[in-house]
Amino acid sequence: MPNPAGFGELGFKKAVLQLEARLREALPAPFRRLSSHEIGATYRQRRFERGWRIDMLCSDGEARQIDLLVSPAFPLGYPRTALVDGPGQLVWPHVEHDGILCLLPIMAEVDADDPGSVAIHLIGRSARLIEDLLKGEIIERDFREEFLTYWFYARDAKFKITSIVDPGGPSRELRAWRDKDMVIVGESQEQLESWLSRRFGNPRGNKRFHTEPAGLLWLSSPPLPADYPHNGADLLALAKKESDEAYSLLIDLASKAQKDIIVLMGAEGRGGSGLIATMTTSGRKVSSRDGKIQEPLSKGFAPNRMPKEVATLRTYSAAPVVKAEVSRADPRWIHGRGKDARSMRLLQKTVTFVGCGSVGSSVAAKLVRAGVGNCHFVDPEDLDWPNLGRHELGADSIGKNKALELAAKFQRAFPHLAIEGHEVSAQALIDGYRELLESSDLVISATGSWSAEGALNRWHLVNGRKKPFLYGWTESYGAAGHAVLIGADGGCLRCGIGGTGVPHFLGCHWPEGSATIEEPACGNHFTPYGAVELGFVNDLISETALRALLEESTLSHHRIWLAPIQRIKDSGGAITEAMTQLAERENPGGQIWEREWCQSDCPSCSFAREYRSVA
Amino acid sequence: MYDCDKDVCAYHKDEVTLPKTDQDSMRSRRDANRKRLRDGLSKANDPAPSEFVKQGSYAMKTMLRDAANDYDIDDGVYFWKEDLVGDRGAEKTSIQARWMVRDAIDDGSFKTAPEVRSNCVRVFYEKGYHVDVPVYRKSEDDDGNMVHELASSSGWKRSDARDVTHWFDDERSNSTNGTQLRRLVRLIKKYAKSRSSWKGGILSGFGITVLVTECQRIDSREDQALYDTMKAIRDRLNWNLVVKHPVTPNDTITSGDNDAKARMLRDKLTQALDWLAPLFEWDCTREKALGCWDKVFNTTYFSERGEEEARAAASYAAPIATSAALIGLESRTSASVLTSGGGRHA
Ligand SMILES: [Zn+2]
Repeated sequence: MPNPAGFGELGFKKAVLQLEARLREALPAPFRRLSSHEIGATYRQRRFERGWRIDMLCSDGEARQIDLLVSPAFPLGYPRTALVDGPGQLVWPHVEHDGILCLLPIMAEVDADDPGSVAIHLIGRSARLIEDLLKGEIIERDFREEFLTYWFYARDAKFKITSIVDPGGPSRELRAWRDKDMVIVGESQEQLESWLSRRFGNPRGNKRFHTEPAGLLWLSSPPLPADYPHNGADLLALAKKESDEAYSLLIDLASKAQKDIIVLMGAEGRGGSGLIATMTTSGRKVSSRDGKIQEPLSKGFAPNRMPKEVATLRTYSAAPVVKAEVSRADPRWIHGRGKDARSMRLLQKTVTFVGCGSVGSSVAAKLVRAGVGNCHFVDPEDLDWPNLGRHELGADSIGKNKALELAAKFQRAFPHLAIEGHEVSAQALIDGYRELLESSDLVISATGSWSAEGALNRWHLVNGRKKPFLYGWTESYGAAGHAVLIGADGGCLRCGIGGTGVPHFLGCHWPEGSATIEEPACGNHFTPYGAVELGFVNDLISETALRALLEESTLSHHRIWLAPIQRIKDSGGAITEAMTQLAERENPGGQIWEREWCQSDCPSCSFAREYRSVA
Repeated sequence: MYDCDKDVCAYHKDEVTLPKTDQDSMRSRRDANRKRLRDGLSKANDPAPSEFVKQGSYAMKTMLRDAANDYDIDDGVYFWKEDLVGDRGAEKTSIQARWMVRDAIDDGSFKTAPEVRSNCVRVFYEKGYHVDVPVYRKSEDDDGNMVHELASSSGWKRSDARDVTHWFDDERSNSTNGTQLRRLVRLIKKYAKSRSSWKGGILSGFGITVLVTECQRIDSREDQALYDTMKAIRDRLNWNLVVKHPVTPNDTITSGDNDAKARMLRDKLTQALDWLAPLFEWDCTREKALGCWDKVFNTTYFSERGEEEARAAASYAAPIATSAALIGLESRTSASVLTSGGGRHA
């Protein structure tokens, strides 16, 4: 017996024994074992090891049969059931071409220790499904609601189509780009060029990415399998039935296109909108060698002089259309599978990250993954080996600028977002990139440098605190993390931080001193902690940033994460008096607290007041 | 003791003893091997063998059926000592004799070439089993007695495997039920091989054979005889872990007086006796009893027999199930299926 994964051969036999005993006890009528020959002949593409057949009298008076089948891995996974002599492919939903029934969703779990009950349950479900199908009400409904699945079964294209199109109406013209590995469809030449150059880099010299016209038919309801187009004429008929716009879209495409036309079709299913694709094959054959069109559809006519009617007839002919699966790569799908309402709002946001070190790079990585549409990374420094243990970048970026490398890495990985790097210091940023700061919905500073952040704070104040600034840092040993959001009201950063950059509120202190260790070089200090400890701090800052982007809160506030108390003790540290008061009771650590960041009429506030009154 | 006589007999017949087809194919393979060796020797102008003698469990007919076809048969080849001379008339050494046999057998048709081992030449077959060919020389001593010597790793060593076969034949004819004795050997060997994790750690099949002949408890019921013999061996090993070689004087199969493999057999027998304890309870059911035997032999064979009987005796409420009756089963078993998954995401 091939590979009895998980429970072994004996486990398989025991489970089969239990299952058979259970069938005998539970079923009201006799059943029979299937021979291995029967199993092999009926379920050719599947690997079933044993099977049983149960006769069933349906409500329509007909006798039908259900097969119960187990794979060699049984009782791992679950038994499958099949309707014997089923109606064939795509006549009934949930019934595959060989009669196998789809009863359970992908995430379903079954109790492998009770295989008998699982089998009995699935037989019951199968009977119910077959009765429901006989009644007929669910047939159209399920075919439409789960149309992506049934299109997938019917597909005949060897390729998948990648879509960065916004999956919604109306029917409209799109553009497509293809090479031998990929077919990608977007809203416009510009969108495709931008996506492709971000993903693969700019084409050499002054070449451009060559795109071609394509279309989206937005359907008022998903197609039934019977409506799936077999040839060009079917496709045109489908569009005509849908709307005048859809119809004229296809007519226009016929006269514009030089190659076979990709037509996406979209509709709303139960789980949200879905996309499927067809491509005509009416004869615009492209040579695989030189990419030239061998038998142009416009044969017999001068270039671009073929009458519309002829183009339509030739394109949407009796030549088949191929059906392809669509992989969605649009932002809504990537950031939350179309279900996260926040993703469309985040896509509109611009965030500037000042400082791309161990905190900044990780916070940036998280916000990119959350789907912030426009990101600017700012850092003047190059990556060095000791950075690697706490940085998003690796050895391939050693000796290169952190901001530029981080931007390049994430831009390739997230071509639907706009990500830029700037090799400048915070000071130079204020002097030379005012527009960038002004246009940002949020500035996140994680430089750990008071001269840099003090300066940013002054600019923020002088500029009127229009958009929030977020400052994040960790205490020594990753013992406490801080996220200070400076909004339009409440304190400025300097209000809570002393003239030399020491915060008024500290989570921990080190009675013995020695919170830092010296490197064998002049003036270099560091504190030992790693990416794991830092993770909590970075998460605190990232979450505060996300909230600032999505919630309109204008009051400055301070969030503190404190490491588990034992870890602080192990590093020779202790919790400060202020932190103890904030926590209010016996404090185990490993938790987040929030406090106000109060105005204190600090030097920066007065500086800004004077500056603005003069201006 | 709950009566599972028929079941243990059936298990022996179906799962333990060598099927006829395997016996036949083994014999024909052995014969082909003998012919190959004869032909090879004559081609190389080497001496012809004087005789072949099958030996080991193959000769004693105590071999077990093996699902993986891992059959190990022993077929000794004997030469006259005066024939075994090499260059310049010198007597062939033990290793030279084994190499001569290896080269003669290897006609180039094997996927894995035959190998010279410390006490034999090993021939590999495709289906997973192998034939071991120990090489002997024989001569008459001054008193006219036949002397047999094995080509071993420590040179020519006095030995004749025929002695063991004869010993077992004698034991069988001395027993009140020689065929049951042989079945008991097979069943207890089968138990010792029932878990792959015991392999290499438990007493050898030969050791078990000796212990079974020593402790046999013949009974009209097969299950009773098996249980009693297992218990007798366990008690015997509790008292003494040393197993003497049945034909070589002063030689033992075990090593020392605390042999780990003998100890393991003893402990595993104790475990089996524990598993079989429910058979002695007054309310033991057939289902329970069969489950006990399954546990011992690490199989589902016994319970499957029970299930077959239950199927044959089953009476069903209807000749055909209605869909409504099947749908009714769904809710009673719904605890075993969770369509929404376990809520643990990663
Ligand atoms: Zn202030």
